[in-house]
Amino acid sequence: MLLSEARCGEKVRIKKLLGEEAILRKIEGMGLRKEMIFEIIQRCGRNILLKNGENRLAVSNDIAKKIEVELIEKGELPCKTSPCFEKTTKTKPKWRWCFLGKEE
Amino acid sequence: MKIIRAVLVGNPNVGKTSLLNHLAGSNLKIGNWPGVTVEKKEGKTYFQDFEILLIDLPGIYTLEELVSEDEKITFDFLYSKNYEVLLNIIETPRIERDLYLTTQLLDLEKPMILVLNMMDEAQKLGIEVDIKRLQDLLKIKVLSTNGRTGEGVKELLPAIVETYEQEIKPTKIRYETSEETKIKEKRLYFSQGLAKEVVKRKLLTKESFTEILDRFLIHPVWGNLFFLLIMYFTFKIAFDFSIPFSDWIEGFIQNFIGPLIFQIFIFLGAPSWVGDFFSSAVIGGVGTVLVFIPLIFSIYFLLTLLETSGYLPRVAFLMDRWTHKLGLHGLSVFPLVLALGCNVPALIATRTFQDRKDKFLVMTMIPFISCPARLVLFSFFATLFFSQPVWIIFFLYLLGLVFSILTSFLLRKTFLKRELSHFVMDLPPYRIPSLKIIFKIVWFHLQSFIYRAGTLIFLISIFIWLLLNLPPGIQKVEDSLAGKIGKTIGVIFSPIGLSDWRITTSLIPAFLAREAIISTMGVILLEEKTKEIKEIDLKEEAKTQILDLIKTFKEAFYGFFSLWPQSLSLNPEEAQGLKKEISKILTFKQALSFLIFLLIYNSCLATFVTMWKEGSKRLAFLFLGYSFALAWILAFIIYCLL
Ligand SMILES: Nc1nc2c(ncn2[C@@H]2O[C@H](COP(=O)(O)OP(=O)(O)O)[C@@H](O)[C@H]2O)c(=O)[nH]1
Ligand SMILES: [Mg+2]
Repeated sequence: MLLSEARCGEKVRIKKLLGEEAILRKIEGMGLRKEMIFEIIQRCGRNILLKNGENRLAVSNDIAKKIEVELIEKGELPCKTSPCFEKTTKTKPKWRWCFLGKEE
Repeated sequence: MKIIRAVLVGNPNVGKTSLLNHLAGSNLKIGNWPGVTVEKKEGKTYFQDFEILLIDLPGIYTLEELVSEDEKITFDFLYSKNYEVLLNIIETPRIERDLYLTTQLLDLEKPMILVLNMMDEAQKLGIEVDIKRLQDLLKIKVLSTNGRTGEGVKELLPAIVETYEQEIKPTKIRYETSEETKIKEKRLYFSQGLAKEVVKRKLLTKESFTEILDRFLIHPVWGNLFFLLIMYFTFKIAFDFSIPFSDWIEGFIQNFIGPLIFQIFIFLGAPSWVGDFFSSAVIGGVGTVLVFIPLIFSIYFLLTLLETSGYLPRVAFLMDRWTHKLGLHGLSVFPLVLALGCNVPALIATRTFQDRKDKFLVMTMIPFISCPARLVLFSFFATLFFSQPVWIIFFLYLLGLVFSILTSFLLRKTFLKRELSHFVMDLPPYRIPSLKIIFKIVWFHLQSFIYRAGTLIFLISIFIWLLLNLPPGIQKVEDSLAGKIGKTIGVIFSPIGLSDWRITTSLIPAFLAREAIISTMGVILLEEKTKEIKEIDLKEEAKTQILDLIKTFKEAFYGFFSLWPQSLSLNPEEAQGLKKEISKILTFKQALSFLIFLLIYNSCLATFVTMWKEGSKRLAFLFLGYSFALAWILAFIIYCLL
């Protein structure tokens, strides 16, 4: 799956950066590399906030679409304590608090 | 004496500039966000028989591909090999990330030192690095430092000399291939292996300070609220603290220094116009600059506090959610908010932008945001002509914002066309800045402000004095050059309802600062000449000034602690007589047209000059023309419609 499809609270392992763009190399330098495990802390507008240890990175969706990841866990702390917003459907954007609603 | 050129390289925000400042005693700008240093900077120090030239480069994450201009500076310099020693600075808590760049630096085959900075933070996080093992593996010197306090920094000097003299080069990675992907993979494994070998982490279950704070500060809802609160208090404190001092300086110069100089000249037997020139043009010009200093100081102080704390990248992250819809990067919000306080530091804050088009775009948005100088004018006229002054003022602020956004929208579609850049941002941990360092940075900014703006503001204020006082011997402003120009430009302003020469003449000094309008109108309408210099009793006046200063401190102190902004409240008894006179020559319609003109037209010399210095001369002039045209058209529409 792609990083852009990950939901908040989930943990993912980076499998591959798709493409040769310079920005991807930079992201790699910033620590988003193969085999690294990141937790999705928050999704906000076009951005996704990721965390691995002391490394906290925000990347926009267009970049997240170029990162292939593997889901490793649903996250021990689901959205209840880590605040975040999620789009419920792609076609009808309806905002809701993810800690209010249930996972679909 | 032999010169050793040592270059500091590392990821952004790892403490390179801090280390250089400690080593060379320099005052280069630091901040807790990536992208503070965007140019090559230098500092030097002496050790034994060597002059050590330290070169600070913009931070870079990888040498494999370049994204922005500052990265190219670093890349080009590193490959030019015009240096003797490489200092690779590492943020120890994130050593795994940083070692990737290290492996790329190994390929440069230059004498090298590894510096483990931010050891204090690593210790708090339970991270231990086996320095000895790291030295053995890389075959170079490894030192640990603290860039905040300067601990361990002095040991860098003997290490640099030794590395230089003995040419201590690091291990080479043997790639056995020329294929790029293979090389990259090898580097990745090497850096990961290295980190595994030397780093020990204690498992900490406690949430860190940063995590707790982020829970509130980047919360999708509360985060925005906190942002507004933080901004509100930043301004409130900056203004309430500085405005009493600014007022005092103004009074001190006008009522004490000016007359004092005047009297000295009279005493020396100089003609009165010489005394007037020195006391009102020269000293007045200096005063215009000095009056800004308390404001610039407090805004910079708070800005630097925000910058070094690590909050800035979070603001960008939060705000990007709204701004990206307008084609603006999240980072643009910061200068725009600053502009509410004063357009000048806001323009300077656009230095943080790495893309020139983005920078220019935001620069053209800033002057539409109303600053307190405009508020003074708005409230003066609004209370005179409108029954609901608050709504008119609110409307004008909003109108400014609308045109700010419209302008950016237009430019984005035309001259400053650019794909919205990706958002990639590193959120560093929050750091508590050291006060000493903040004061140093603020002092540095103040100096450059006085130097940059000072010279030009000063020259123009002398020019305007000459306009008001030439040809020599005139008694009324109407006969002066300024009056004549006022009458001439009346042609341009008559379609928007401002044909009276008394109004148009007051627009000329308004270019210095909008507040000047009220005082010029006072001079013209009340048929007084500009020189109101009276004989003063110096002793008495000195006493009044000292008492005023004490009052100023008291006011600044109270202002600091009150919740509601003090400096924005109106002063009703100001210039009653003048108000009556003005209401005789202006109607409601004309007043509204006048205010709209002043809101939109970039009539502030300091803003103009800063735009010139920070952006370009062309930008400043083009914008001036654009804002004039826009202001005129809007005022025309309003004047005709009503
Ligand atoms: N706690 C701690 N903070 C540091 C240390 N060195 C630098 N800093 C802070 O880290 C931030 C980044 O420093 P700066 O010198 O601008 O990094 P540069 O981007 O690499 O030049 C600043 O807020 C510094 O005050 C250190 O050793 N310990
Ligand atoms: Mg720096």
